[in-house]
Amino acid sequence: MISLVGKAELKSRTVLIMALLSGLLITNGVQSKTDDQGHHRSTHNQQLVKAWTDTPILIPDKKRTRGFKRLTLKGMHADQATVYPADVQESWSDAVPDNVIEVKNRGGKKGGYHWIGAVSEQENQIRSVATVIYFPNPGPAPRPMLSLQKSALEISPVKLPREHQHFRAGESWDFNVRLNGKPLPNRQIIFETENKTRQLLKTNEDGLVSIAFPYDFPDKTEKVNQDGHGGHERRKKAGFVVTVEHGAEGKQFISHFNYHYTTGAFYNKNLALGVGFALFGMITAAPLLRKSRKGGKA
Amino acid sequence: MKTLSMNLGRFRLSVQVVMLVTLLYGATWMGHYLSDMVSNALPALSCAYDPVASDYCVLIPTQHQLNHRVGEAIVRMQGFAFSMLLPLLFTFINFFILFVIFNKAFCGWICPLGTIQELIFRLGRFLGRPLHHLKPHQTGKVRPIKWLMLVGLVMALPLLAGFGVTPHETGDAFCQVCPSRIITSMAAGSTEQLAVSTSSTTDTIFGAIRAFLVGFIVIAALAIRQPFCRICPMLSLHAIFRRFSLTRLVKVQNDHCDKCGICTKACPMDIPEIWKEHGPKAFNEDCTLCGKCAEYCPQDSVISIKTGPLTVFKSSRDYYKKRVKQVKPNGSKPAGKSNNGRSSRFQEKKA
Repeated sequence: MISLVGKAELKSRTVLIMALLSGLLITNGVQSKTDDQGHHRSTHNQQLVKAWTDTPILIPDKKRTRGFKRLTLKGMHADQATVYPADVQESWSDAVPDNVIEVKNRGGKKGGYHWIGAVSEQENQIRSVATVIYFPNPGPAPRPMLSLQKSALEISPVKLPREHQHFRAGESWDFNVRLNGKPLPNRQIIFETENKTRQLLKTNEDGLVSIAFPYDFPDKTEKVNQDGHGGHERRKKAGFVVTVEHGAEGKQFISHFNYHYTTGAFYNKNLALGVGFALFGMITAAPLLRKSRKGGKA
Repeated sequence: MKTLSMNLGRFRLSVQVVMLVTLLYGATWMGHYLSDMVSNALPALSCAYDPVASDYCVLIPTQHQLNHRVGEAIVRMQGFAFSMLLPLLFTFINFFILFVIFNKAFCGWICPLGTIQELIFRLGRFLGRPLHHLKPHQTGKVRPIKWLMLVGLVMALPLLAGFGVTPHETGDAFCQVCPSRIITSMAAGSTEQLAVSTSSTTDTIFGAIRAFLVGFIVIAALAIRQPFCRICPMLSLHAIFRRFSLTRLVKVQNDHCDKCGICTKACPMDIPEIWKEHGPKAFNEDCTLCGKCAEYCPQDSVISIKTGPLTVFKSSRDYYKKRVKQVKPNGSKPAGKSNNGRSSRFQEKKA
């Protein structure tokens, strides 16, 4: 083993580095605590959830809750919402008083993802809106939930992100469009994001449309919190909604699916800096590779 | 035609390679959602940042629950409701079940980062790089680091982040510096985790430490066996439960041991106790149950690996004689089989 510095010197350096790191962490912690409180305050002030689009969407409450999730239905009215857990063994309906849906986690091995859908019928127009929420339940993958027909006209992702992952800017994900469970080819899709992107897309012969999530997040110099109290930047996320319309049997079907996506893989990240530190680590370890003049122990 | 006989070392390498490929790339052929379904409780550094991993390391839910549930619950002064501690308990129960059966074998047989370090060490032998052993007093100095990593990075900082004392990023402080995060995700073709985040000072510090550690470990592993394993908090978590484990290392007293010490030379963690001690003391906190000490013990039945009453492997003189002809205890090839692949005949000719 190589001894580069004296024991006492090494000890004092270690203590100094630890003290510096602890100081930095705690300083930043105090800063982040203040920011977090600001953030909670702002959330509290925005009890009346603001919609970022006129398109009907289901907005999950930002406030962290345990055992249930609250969503606000914006842009349309429905009397009840239907919940399909990942295993779709049972589905249930919840009332939507004041356009607020409270979905309880019924536990068990139902799987993490739950599909929440609401339908409104006005004269000849049938409009459905849906989103997904995640409970940390064990259970099967959400394939049955996504493949099940939940409304006459439906647009849904083919796959959902795995736990700890997201739809991210720069990634392409396939969405399915089906009418009465059958693929709907050559149908126009409207894709809108909270960051003001709007795209018109078309399904292919199999009723699939590939959506490339755009790099449309604000510049890194902008604050996270819109109330000006920001400064502690976390991974940003923004809402998106996809819409499809179709006329059949004298009725107009409109279906919306909304969820969120996050910043791209390298947002506010510096790869060159990472490579630099890795090279520094390599150079630091390089003396270990030298054979000693006595012949070493190769 | 040369025939390959199966020995414990080769069997372990086969298991390691199969597990490495399965854990790193499993989701590509076994299904997109595989990691959500299999377990969040694997006591090995199988990283959730790897986009095609088939399982997640238990340290992720442990840190998250200490941060989001326990820490925040205390702050809200709503007391330790059982419902808040229950998920944490489940994480530990899952973790504990895996421990009771395999315990430290996860380090020596399953952990992707352990396997990668071993493969780099083999490359070091192939390239003829020197081998550095840690002397007993040096081993003694390194050992506390893994406990500091466990208490500081896995437990204290996530808890403090829950209190709001330290930044949000410290909520998974160990994951922030874990080299597996970079190495496994790069093995899956993504350089994202190597990039240092510049969104906050804490993020930048963590990213810099993580990248530095990776660079250091990749080079150090060419000359030192298992450099990161020695400070890994997973090793200390395993150490806590090793006395309850069904799978364990057993050493009986033998008079020949005093003059021998080959077991310590073979040990990738340079554990002197396996040579100097016997009984429970020989099964040291640093042991990864790789079985090298048992393979290279020249005495019959002195060192063995057991699972419950079943003896998985025990030392034997005949096995030892065959083994040292293939690989020396320190991992290098015997004189007849040079490290860089050239035959002994070639070397003799050169001489």
